Amino acid sequence: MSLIKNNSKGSRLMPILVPVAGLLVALFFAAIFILITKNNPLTVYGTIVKSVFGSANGITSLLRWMIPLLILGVSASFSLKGGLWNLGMEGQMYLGALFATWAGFTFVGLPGPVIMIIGFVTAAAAGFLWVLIPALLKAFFSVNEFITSLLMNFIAVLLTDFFTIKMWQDVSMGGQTLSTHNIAESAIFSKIIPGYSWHTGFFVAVIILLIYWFVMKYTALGYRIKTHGFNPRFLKYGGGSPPRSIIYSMGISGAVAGIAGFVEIYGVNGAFFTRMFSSGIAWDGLVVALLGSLQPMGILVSSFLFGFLKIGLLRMERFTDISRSVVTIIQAFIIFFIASQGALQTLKIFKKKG
Amino acid sequence: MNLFIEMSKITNVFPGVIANEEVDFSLKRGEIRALVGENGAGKSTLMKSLYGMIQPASGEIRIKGELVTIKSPNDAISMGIGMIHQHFMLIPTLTTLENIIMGVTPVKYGVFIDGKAAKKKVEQLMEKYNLHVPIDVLVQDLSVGDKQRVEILKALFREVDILILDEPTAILTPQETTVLFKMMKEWSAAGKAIVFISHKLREVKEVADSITIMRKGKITGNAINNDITEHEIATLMVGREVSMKVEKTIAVPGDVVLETVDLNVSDNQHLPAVKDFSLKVRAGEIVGVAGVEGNGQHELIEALAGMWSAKTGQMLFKGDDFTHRSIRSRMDIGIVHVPEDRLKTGLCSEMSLWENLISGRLENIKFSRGKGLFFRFKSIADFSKKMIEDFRIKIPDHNYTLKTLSGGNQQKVVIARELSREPQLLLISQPTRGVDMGAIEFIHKELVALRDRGCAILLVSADLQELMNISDRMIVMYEGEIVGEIPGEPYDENEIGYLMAGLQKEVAK
Repeated sequence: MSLIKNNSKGSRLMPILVPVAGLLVALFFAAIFILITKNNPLTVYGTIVKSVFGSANGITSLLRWMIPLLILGVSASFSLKGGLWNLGMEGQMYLGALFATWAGFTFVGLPGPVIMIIGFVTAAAAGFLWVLIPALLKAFFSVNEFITSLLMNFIAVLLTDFFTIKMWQDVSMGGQTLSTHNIAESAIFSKIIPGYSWHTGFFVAVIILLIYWFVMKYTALGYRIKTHGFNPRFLKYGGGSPPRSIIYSMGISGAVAGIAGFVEIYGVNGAFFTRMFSSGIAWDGLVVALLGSLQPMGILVSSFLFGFLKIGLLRMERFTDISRSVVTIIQAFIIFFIASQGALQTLKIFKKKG
Repeated sequence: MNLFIEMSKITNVFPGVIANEEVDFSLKRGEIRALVGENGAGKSTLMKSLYGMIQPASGEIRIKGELVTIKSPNDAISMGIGMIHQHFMLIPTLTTLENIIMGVTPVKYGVFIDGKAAKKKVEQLMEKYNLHVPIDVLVQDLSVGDKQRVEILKALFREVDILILDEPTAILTPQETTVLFKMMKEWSAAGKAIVFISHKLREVKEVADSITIMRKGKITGNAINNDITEHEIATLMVGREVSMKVEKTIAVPGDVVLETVDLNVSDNQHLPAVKDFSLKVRAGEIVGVAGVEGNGQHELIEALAGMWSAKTGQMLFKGDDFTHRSIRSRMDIGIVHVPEDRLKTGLCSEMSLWENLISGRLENIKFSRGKGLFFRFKSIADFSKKMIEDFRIKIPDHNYTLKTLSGGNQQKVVIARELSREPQLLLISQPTRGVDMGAIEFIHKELVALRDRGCAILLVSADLQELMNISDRMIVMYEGEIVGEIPGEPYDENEIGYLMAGLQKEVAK
């Protein structure tokens, strides 16, 4: 299918080059800070790389973190391609996780794969319905989705608190934990390598990425989402419906974010805890998408990079005598540099809209 | 020496493009020199380097014999050069006076604006050059012609000797144009020199003393007005023989294809834009809609195409009411729309040629399996290649984005996509705006050929010459109403001009 490819020759490599170049610049500036702490940057970097790639534990942790990053990266890409900001991924993920958990402990009697499918669908539905509110407001009343979707995060997280504590709390521990019942054992993603956290939810993530690639490249749906991102008036002129495109692109984004919650529960946690996800994960997904120029290959590479950073910086604290605050500074540097680069690339889409 | 300006061997280079190559250009005191050429020939670039907006890569500029470097428009103004751009650089929320004196405000006691002195000076200027504009009115409330006069006054207030006018007539009615030309002649008699950038040859012949013709960044001819014919200028501009007049037979109108009955459309401010509009367009005829822009033509076409909804009244296609049908179902029955603004509506310049060509036909079995589920790239590619060939689109291949294409080529993409739908009713607006002469000829021929195949065409254009060239009959719109119908050639330009200005209506009252 090389008959139709995108534009200029350079653009094929760009999605990979951008994140990598960004990382290099970031490492250079971070090195200055490491020097200030009287450490040798090269040794520090060496330690990080060794700590991640030097052990099976490190590599599998990296791959395990790639799972939610990939899925959330795709989620963000679906909205960004449509010229829309779904900043409510965190809330959609929380609700997806909560309702997938509900399905997991409610349908205990059913075979494992069936429960997983039910969990998957409930999570997607929860994410979809939650994003539908800002999507409909945007589609029919031109209410800025940037703000509405963002603010709905707070409501979503508080709602999950309510459901966990008031409705589905696991009281077998005497109410000592703020968590739901566990989901059925049979419905948990098996580990790819026994003993390590990397689980088969990884394939779900890869399939979602492939679907994203297929939809954007081969289908009228992807074409319409993309066209809406560039020029909604042109979409309308060609017989398309901008409101419908908004609902599709935001709706799919929300459903995919919900699925990210499902995969975390069924792959790692097994039950829903209040405030269980680190607050940054959904934002990391957004950065992964921007950094990867919304291209499938780019999303793959940048989710790998982000997984590496997550594990690497965690271990840097553990294996070097650099203080936590310096690690945070370095992390901020890296994110700033690679993210701003990717963002600049992608934001060209939005520039015209003013 | 009476030479005001001497530009010699000016070369301007943009990344990958040589916009001007060793161009010589000169201007005498009291001369009106027309600078003509197709879009992209390098006229504006040359003048921008004279006005200090860009720095030439090489070459010399002499003003009154003195070698100068012009680093910015401020430099240019201080050397006596003023430029009136195609797009006004006025602040709509300030008054005429405030716009004119902006930046060169007379000051008293070192801080306060000396309003009285400024006003007096501007009034003297208006008197001297016979340029009268309401002085204390906000610029946003002025007519287009008045805004242009404010721009000119702005330049004159800065005491320039040389005025560069970049396509000044593009936005004027024939009558306003006549007034402008009269003023230009007065200024030149008073010793000012004028560069008149245009591609309308008739106007150039009417007003210029001498003519410089450019093509592809080079000068292809310099002549005294009386020594050269329009036809010769056109040939020098295009580089080959161009037929100025479209060859066409007399129309043989068939059945009524489009009929509107008492159509009313509001504009985006909810004000009535089209009023009780009733019109019939028959198969095999081109009906031209003349009018100064902003008199409801835009809203009329948008409503007919389905981009905008009508308030009251009916639209009939071969007798069937389609007033409330969707854009897509209008496309399905053969109503095709070429919008006035290709960059905002007709195209997506960030996307590739093939992506632009399949717009509106995604579900077509030829281009996708399963109604848009899986694109057939092979036949999309074949179709794109055929369009490139049939419509002579200059593009390396169908995967290229349209961003870098010239206006003419972009317009050809729109025309290719829409005409290949084999329309029964074509709604077409400003088909050749910003398009070069070669492409204009091509597009006009395509439209006439389409008419001959039995299509009904409703053509809106701000270019009266274009309307007179290809319309089989014409209507004139003024403030949303039809104020005149001209059954066919010969067209009387003066009569149409009066109708466009709404004068007939006043007389009738």
